[in-house]
Amino acid sequence: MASSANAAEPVVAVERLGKRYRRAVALQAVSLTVPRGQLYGLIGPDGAGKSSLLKAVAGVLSYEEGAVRVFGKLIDSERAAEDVKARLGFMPQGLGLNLYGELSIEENVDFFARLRLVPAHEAAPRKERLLAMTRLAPYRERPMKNLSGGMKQKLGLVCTLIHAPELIILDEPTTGVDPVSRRDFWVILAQLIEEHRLTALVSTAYLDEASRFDRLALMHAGRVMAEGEPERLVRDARARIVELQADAAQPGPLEQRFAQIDWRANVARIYVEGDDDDSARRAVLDVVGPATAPHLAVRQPELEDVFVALLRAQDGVAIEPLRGLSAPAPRHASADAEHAIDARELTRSFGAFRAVDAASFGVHYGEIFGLLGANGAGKTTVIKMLTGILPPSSGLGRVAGADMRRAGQAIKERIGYMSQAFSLYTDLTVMENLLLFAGVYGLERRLAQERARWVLALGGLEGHEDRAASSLPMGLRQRLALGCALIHQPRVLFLDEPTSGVDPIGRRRFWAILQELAREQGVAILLTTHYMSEAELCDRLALMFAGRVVADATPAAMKAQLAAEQGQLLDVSTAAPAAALAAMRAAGFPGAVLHGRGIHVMAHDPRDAQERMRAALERAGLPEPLVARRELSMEDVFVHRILALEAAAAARTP
Amino acid sequence: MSRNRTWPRLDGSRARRWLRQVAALMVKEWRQLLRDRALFGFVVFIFTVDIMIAFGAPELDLHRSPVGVIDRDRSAASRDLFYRLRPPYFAASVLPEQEAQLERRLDRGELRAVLTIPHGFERDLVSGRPTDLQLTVDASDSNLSYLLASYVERITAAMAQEWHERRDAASGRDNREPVVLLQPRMRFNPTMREGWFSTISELLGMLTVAGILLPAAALVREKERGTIEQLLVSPLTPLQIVLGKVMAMTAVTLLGTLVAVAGVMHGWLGVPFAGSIPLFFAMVALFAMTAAGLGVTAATFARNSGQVGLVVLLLVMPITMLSGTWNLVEGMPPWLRTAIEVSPLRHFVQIAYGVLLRGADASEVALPAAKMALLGAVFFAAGVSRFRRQFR
Amino acid sequence: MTPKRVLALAGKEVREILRDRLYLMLAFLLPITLLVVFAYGMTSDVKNVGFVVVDEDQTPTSRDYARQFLASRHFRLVASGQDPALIDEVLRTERARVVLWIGPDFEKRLLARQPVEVAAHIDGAVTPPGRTIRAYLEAINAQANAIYQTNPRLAQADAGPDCCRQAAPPVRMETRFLYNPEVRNIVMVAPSLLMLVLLLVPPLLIAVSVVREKESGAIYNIASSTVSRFEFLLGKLLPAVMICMINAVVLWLLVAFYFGVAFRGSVPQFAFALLLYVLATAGLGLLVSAAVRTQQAAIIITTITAMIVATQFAGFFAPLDTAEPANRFLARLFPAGYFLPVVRGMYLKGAGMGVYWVELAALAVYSGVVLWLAHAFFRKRTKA
Repeated sequence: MASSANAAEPVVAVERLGKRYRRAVALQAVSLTVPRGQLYGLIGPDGAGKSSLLKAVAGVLSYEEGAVRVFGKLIDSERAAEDVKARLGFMPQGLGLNLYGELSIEENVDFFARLRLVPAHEAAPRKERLLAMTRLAPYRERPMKNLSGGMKQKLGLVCTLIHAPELIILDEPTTGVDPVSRRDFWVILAQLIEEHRLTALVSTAYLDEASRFDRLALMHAGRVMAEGEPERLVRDARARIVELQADAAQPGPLEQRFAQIDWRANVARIYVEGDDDDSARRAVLDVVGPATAPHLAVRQPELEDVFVALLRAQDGVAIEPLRGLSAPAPRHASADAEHAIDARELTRSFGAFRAVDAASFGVHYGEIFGLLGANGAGKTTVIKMLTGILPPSSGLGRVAGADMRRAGQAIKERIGYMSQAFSLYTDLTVMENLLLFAGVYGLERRLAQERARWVLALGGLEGHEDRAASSLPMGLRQRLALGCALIHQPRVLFLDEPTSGVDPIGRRRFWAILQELAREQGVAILLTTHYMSEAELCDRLALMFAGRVVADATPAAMKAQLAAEQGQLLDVSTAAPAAALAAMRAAGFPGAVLHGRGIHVMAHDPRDAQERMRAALERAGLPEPLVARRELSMEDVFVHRILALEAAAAARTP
Repeated sequence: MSRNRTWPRLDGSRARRWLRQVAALMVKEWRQLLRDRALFGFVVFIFTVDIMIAFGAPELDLHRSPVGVIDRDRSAASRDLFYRLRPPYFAASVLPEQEAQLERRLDRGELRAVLTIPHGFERDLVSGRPTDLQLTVDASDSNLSYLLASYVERITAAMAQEWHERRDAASGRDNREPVVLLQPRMRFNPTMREGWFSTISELLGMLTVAGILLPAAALVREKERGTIEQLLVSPLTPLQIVLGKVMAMTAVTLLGTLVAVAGVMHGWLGVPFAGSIPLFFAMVALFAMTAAGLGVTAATFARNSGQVGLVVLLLVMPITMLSGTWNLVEGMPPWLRTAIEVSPLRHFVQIAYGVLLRGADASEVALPAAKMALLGAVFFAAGVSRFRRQFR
Repeated sequence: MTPKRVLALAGKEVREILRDRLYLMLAFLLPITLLVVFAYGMTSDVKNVGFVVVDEDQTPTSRDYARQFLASRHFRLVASGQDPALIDEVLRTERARVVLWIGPDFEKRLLARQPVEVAAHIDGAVTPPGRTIRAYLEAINAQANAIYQTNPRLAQADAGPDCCRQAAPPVRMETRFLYNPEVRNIVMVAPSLLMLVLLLVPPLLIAVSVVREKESGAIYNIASSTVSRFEFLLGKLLPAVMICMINAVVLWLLVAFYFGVAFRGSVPQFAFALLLYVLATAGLGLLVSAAVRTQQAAIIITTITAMIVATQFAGFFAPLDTAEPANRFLARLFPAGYFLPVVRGMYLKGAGMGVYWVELAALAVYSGVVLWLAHAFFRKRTKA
């Protein structure tokens, strides 16, 4: 019955799949089908069971209950799995971990081709095409271990595709990758799917990537909570988002009435249940008063809103409200005089390579300062120099008034640090970790207990005291790591990608803590993140590129500057985004970029731009697009700035 | 909480605080070791089962060694000699004259030796004329061949003695001779029980393995998982970080030794101990810390636990093989004798055998102990300084 | 099975090994270090051994007797005196391993043609060398007696020369040590070390290289592709066997030329035997790597097993004849027990394959069985 000719047959069909590891349940009654030629997404927080599901489909993990069919073949034994493996490609989790560090890009690709017995006359042209497409061709001699995160991820994709599989299974290919590289990756993937009629099953922890999928399943705690096309999921949510100008919002009463409010830089996005614009508007006006009506807009919820709502229902806990930080950070009299963190011409070279190049910035007490940049821009190196782990090659890093190169114990006691990825002791329990760090900071037993309880309460970790850190979901782990960095109540906090891989609810709780620390206790916080929605929440941002700080301003100022330079942001939605993008770029919109399933373009004269776009798409035989003006987001700013800088750098080096 | 709150001053003296920090790290190390199944299983194994296996090791002795006898005399005397080559040491068989098969049977290992009794053996023996017996021994296993030759020699000598005495008794002659009778006294182990020695030598080897591997693995694990950075930004000094591991693992080694010595060796296997047990444990602690210094240094050369395993192996093998646990250091070439002075085990061997079996007291082991402490200080300084530089 | 795929796997393996400097260094340095270290460590030559004389007689005869021992290279005088209390002190501190005690009437009794007892206190703590030392002392004493019995000065106390002929040893043993005429310890130890080192190194290298892929996740490339388990195992086995055969040859040369143990067998036949053995032990490494998940565990398990098997269950130090039946059975479970007689026989005795065909066949079957077991235990579709 297995026949690849039968196009109607789903490529993957999972029925009531159950999987357990010893006593821990990984998957329960999971059912889904992946039709041919689709980009199917598995979305959910860390520990939701995405990896287990993907491995079961790839035939590398056995399961106890239910059935997995791939190309119509029941995968219930190693032998059965072998029959379909020629037709699928699997890229496991972990950036470049399945590749061979000592081998070059080309050798990696060649190895995968030989492993898959691809005839040389097929492999060679395919390799060239894939390397060209991923723009890896110029680096083909470079050993894999020396690649940046984004490049590793693209190489992984090339290696997975070299035998021209019909189905590719990618496990969190974008985790830990910066927004620009991530975008790049999705564009390439979309192109490949279109050209080769590939079917792709991809998991991600980034909810904002959800809208890129043709179809998706939201997973949580081993179950599928919702499944279907993105549009249908939004429709089925039967809810509205009421956007309210932040200055008109009344946080207290609103939060009492509505469980899910997303506070952005200048708007509050309120999630209102009910499939009706008017009743949603009325529900909000009932709280804030009719006078605010002009400052209010009703929109369809985005996928992320829907997921948060679904997860919230599952967790049964209220989401921490995130206050907008549009008001300037409170400055203390003493703090004004002195920066908590002060980087002056900070430089660090590794051999000939300059990882950080004369970076200068300052952070006040009570301020949340975000360091943004692509993978390899030098963010982590800056933090390592400022925390005293790495001595600068030149320049000065002062923290709490002391030169970090000669920092003594007293200074280190004022610093808290959370390194990239999870760096606590996973084999210790929550309480053991906390008491360890209390001891490391020399706290006496009674005080240590007291602080541990304080951290447990702050991080919402009560009830998990005796769980091994390895068994915690990502969100809890990160709060535990933060707690360990806080146990000695530092005045300055360094957080390196603290929320990587954490689900949105977890991230919200995390940020609520950060805000409390900054606002209530005047802690200076320096952090890095790849989530641009988090960048919005920072008081100030510095953008790094190739080791240099290229911009340093508040999020609002950054947006305003971009708007002044490039004009109004237009969101173009169309049925065939890839083709439309090509057409638009050809028609004089070089800055057009893919955003979700739409295209973002900036223009000083929106009317004229709209006309030109229509014409361009018509010439290309594409349907008329839907164009809407949008507020600039930090993501737009980031992508625009980085692409411009990359283009400039490429122009300098011929 | 108020904005400008004054952060509580940490009370207690500096030294107490310093120790508290180290203690926190030690507790962490113990917890981690307990939860690392492979490593913990290994520690339990080396201090219990491994010692027992060593006790039951085969002894170097003859056991029904196959000896072929070519009897050209066919006399009462030659038959007497043949029957003296009996179990448990020998299993003698009469061989035919033709020697064609002999070589092959020796090659095959079916025979360990061939004894040829010449014509006129009995006649010569009775008349007191010297006779020549021929013994061909397979010396590919040299220890065994030596043993075999000396056993055969002793048996023939005893037989000749008996025949002479019988003859002399018959003739009434006086047979006193100027002879020096050497009385070998095996001190500290009079019955030459191999088990005593082998359990101690095994324990010394395993102490070295544990002493080096445990702190090295603990340190590399932090590097591998990135937790080291969390410690480096804390007010801990590199010395404290290293010391926390070393002290924790020294305690583990001491506990393991206690189980091995008191439980397995003394309690279960009945190995007697001559010297002061507290002195021995004090020395074990000193040795464990010295070895840990080596382990820390080794760990600074490795990036992951796989590498550290191989590096430790490269370090442990020469140390355990050449330090005199089972070999005579005196017999090694001079350059090697000098080189092995930097092995902490070389000095600990003298202390351990000295205290456990020979009943040496503190003053008698003071010199090796001082050398060991000196080595420990050097390794430690090297380890801590390399560790410090690696993160600078 | 597709040879092309095995080649691709093996080729990738070789490239990785060549570029991973630490691994490469260890792969070749480790076996050589082990061989040299074990060779020196296991040959307990009695040389330079600390020797103390407590001579209560203090006569020319007694001094002459003591000198007999020191004339050889075996013993080195570290102290002498008349106080018996010296005995315990020097032995306890390991300053000396032998104390020779000569009583007050030594010369008088000898001249009176009477037997006289002397005591040799030997350090028995380090037991096996102690036993060897005893044998040396006895041999030297026997030589001394032979001289006294023919010494005119001692003989003149009695009548004619007749008695001396009478006292000459009645039975002379003419011992011929086959294969190792000088009975050098190294001759026995060095070739056997090929067995030990090649029992430890191949499984170690192979287990580390397989488990490393498990740890990193690269194993999923194999698991999710059409590469068969057998192809994967062969791809790991071939490079490891290649490295280990190079090592085996280097070790062989070291034994023959550095340690000067003459090779008496046929070169191709011995090389073939080595290959069979390396295949078997490398196969063991595959078996270990199928069972464990971390490199650390792989190293610990292979090292402990190899050391215990080599020293206790292979007949290295003592022949298996004296071992318990259970131990003899355990010895059958590892290739070392089959290979030891082969290496001694082929290397030292110059025996051919015909003599050892049973053991060689056993090794061949063994490698097949181990490879099959590794194949059976290795899973592309795992439970966790």
